[in-house]
Parts: sequence; structure tokens; C-alpha cells
Amino acid sequence: MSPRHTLDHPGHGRGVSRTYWRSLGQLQDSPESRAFLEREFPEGASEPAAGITRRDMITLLGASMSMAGLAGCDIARRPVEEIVPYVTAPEDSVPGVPRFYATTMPFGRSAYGLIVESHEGRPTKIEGNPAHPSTAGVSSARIQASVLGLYDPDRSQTARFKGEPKTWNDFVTAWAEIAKAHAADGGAGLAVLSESFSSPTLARLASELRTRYPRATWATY
Amino acid sequence: MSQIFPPWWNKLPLAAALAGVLVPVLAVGGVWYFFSPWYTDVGYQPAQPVPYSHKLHVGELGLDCRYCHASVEIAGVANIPPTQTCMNCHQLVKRDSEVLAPIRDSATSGRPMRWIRVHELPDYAYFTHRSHVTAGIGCVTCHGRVDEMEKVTQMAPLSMSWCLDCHRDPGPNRRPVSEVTNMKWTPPRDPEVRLAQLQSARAVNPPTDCSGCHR
Repeated sequence: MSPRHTLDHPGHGRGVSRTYWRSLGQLQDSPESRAFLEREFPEGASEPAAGITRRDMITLLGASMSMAGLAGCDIARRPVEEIVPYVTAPEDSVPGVPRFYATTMPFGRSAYGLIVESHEGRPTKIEGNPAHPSTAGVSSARIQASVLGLYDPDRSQTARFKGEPKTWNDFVTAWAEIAKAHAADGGAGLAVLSESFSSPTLARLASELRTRYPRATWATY
Repeated sequence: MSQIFPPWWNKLPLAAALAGVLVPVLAVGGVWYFFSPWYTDVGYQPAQPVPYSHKLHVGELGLDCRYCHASVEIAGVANIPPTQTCMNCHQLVKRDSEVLAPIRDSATSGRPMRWIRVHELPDYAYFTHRSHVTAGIGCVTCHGRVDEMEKVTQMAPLSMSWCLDCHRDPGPNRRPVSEVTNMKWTPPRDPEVRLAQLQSARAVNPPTDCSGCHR
């Protein structure tokens, strides 16, 4: 056994050298334990037993990178860009020329008068409307950022029932059942949760609902 | 005592001098030629979903560029025509043509055609067709003889130095605005007539500073 694996403590009070061991295999000096000791790493720790090794992987990666560079030496454009025109062009729209729409954005119980720049039907920039008293041509950070909300992937695109996307027809069917169930009790236990609003139309609809179901709750946030 | 250096070492200075000249020359020349847009971009000729022939439509039938690329005088982009523009004629002409099937499919299904862009400027370069066309720069100046192209091919490098060559001296490339879409127009032979023509044209002042295009 090599000195690396034995610890001699000469003396130790009695002048006797002792042999220390770290495993039963070492004590027995079996061939398996000797092979285990002589390997730097356990089997499979530095290289997989089969398949591609780390070094081969790096070699292949480097080779494919340089091949990709070579492929650039050709009249081949990457990425290939597509032009997708209209099928039937809208009569008053010119591609590349933005259109500006005056609109209002409800926010809480007020509304902002805005001008929205739109490219081929896609809104890109929102500014205050100079002719509208609520903004007078200026805007806030919230208004500027609201254009991002239009492209928010989390924005609900359809009606949902317990998180499952449903169609509006499903809602109408479901509502018909709810209406039947609450016809007798005046809407006890029925609640509508909505954003706070100042829309006269929605207010009228809400009051109609309250007339029909006097015990229902309409909560806003 | 044996020789430390074999006799062929005598040729080493000459070989080193030759390599010292040839390697830089080849490297510079190689980059100059192979990395230039004249090599990498000119001649780009992608296959389109429908093999629309400008040679037939423009060269032989005589369609004006603006029949399809209608917005070129009023917008930054010269629009690719909607499917409807093709169907204006092809609902009557060549109704059973095999190669026109994608156009008919697009018109009936409402799915747009996906053409491959040939002339592409980087996004950091601002370019508008409107100001060039109204300043009397002909289509042919940048796009070449499209009326002779079976497949549209990029003819100009569209590189910055190529743009600047004209921006610094637009005169030779200007023509009367009425001749902008004329593929066969040549400047008048008589220098005085040409001079008068240029002087009567609207004065232009193409930007040559960075922010003119990189804005």
C-alpha cells in the first residue's frame, strides 16, 4: 500500500506504527478497491460510459459554427424576409402612411381624449388629443404605456369560465340558466364584479339589472 | 561540427518577404471583394410564390409601375399590390393558369400572398420612396431594367457609399418627374438642353450628414 493511503504515526507513545484505513476494501486490499483508488474519478464521472464525450461535443460545436460562417459566403439572405400585402386593400389606407384616430380611453370614472397613431391597423403610439379638454394634447406615462396593453398576451381575448376560454354564445347559454335560477329570489347571492366606469350605457344596463334582481350586488374596483 | 541550419534556410528571407506581401494583399483583396455588397447582395434573385414576370407585364404589356406599386409617390414604401390588384385582370385573363393558382386561392380564401422581399435596407437606414420619386430619381436608377427581368433581381448594392455617391451629386441621376417610371429614358444628348432641364427642375438638397438617414 502506498504511503499516500497510510498514515504512520511513529511513536505515539509506544513506538508502534499503525496502519489506518478508510474503507473495508482498503483494509482487505481487494483488487476492486485497488482499481477504485487508482482511478482519478469514479467511473462515468468525467466521461459518459457510452455516447458523445464533452470534448467531442465542443469539437463538433466549433466545427458547425465555422461551417455556418462559410455558408454566409453566398448570395443567400438570412433571414429571408416576406412581404405580405392585403388581399383586398382597404380603400382609404396607404401602406406606410400612418392613420390617426381620435378616441377616448376610459380610466376609472373619467376618460382621456387621445389620438392614436395606427399603421396598417396596428396602433403604435398614443398621445393626448389637443382638441379634448381632458388631455389638451398632453399625456402621462400611463397613457403612453397603455398602447402596450393592446398587445398584452395576458389580455383576455374571449369570455372565460373558470379559466377556460369560452365563446360569447356559451356565456349567453350559461346566463340563461343563471337568470332562471335567480328569477324567484330577486338575485340573492348573485354578484357582478366590474371596473369602475362612467359609461352612461353601462350605467343604464346596470340599473336595469338592479331593477330585475334587486338583491344582487354590483361591485366595482 | 555539423551545421545547425540546413542550406534551405538561405531561401527563408525571400519566402518570408513574398509571404509578407502576398498574405496581406490577398486578405485585403479578399475582404474587399467578398465582403462587399456588390458580391453579397447584387444578384439576389429569390424564387417567388408566383413567378410573376415583370418582363411580360411591364416590358411587353406596358403596365406602368404605379399600377401595382401605387403608393410610391405618396408613401415611404412602394407597396406590393394586394391580391385584388392581380385579380383585376386575372379574373378574366388566364383564368385556368396553373402558376396563378396561389393568387386565386388567396383571393377566394382571404389568406394573403407571401412574397419574398428582394430589395432590403437595414432598419437603421431611413428611406422613403416618396422624396426620391418626386425629386426625379427614376425607378430604373436603383432597381435596374425591371422591364427586362423575368425574375426580379437586385441590381444595385444598396450600400451606404452607393447612396452617398448620388446624394453628393444627384444631378446625373435626375430626370423630369414625368419620366420617373420610364424604363427607357436617356438624358438628352445636347448638354445645353440637359442643363436647362436640370435647372428648371425643383432644387433638391439631399442630406449627406449621418442623421439624414440614420435618424
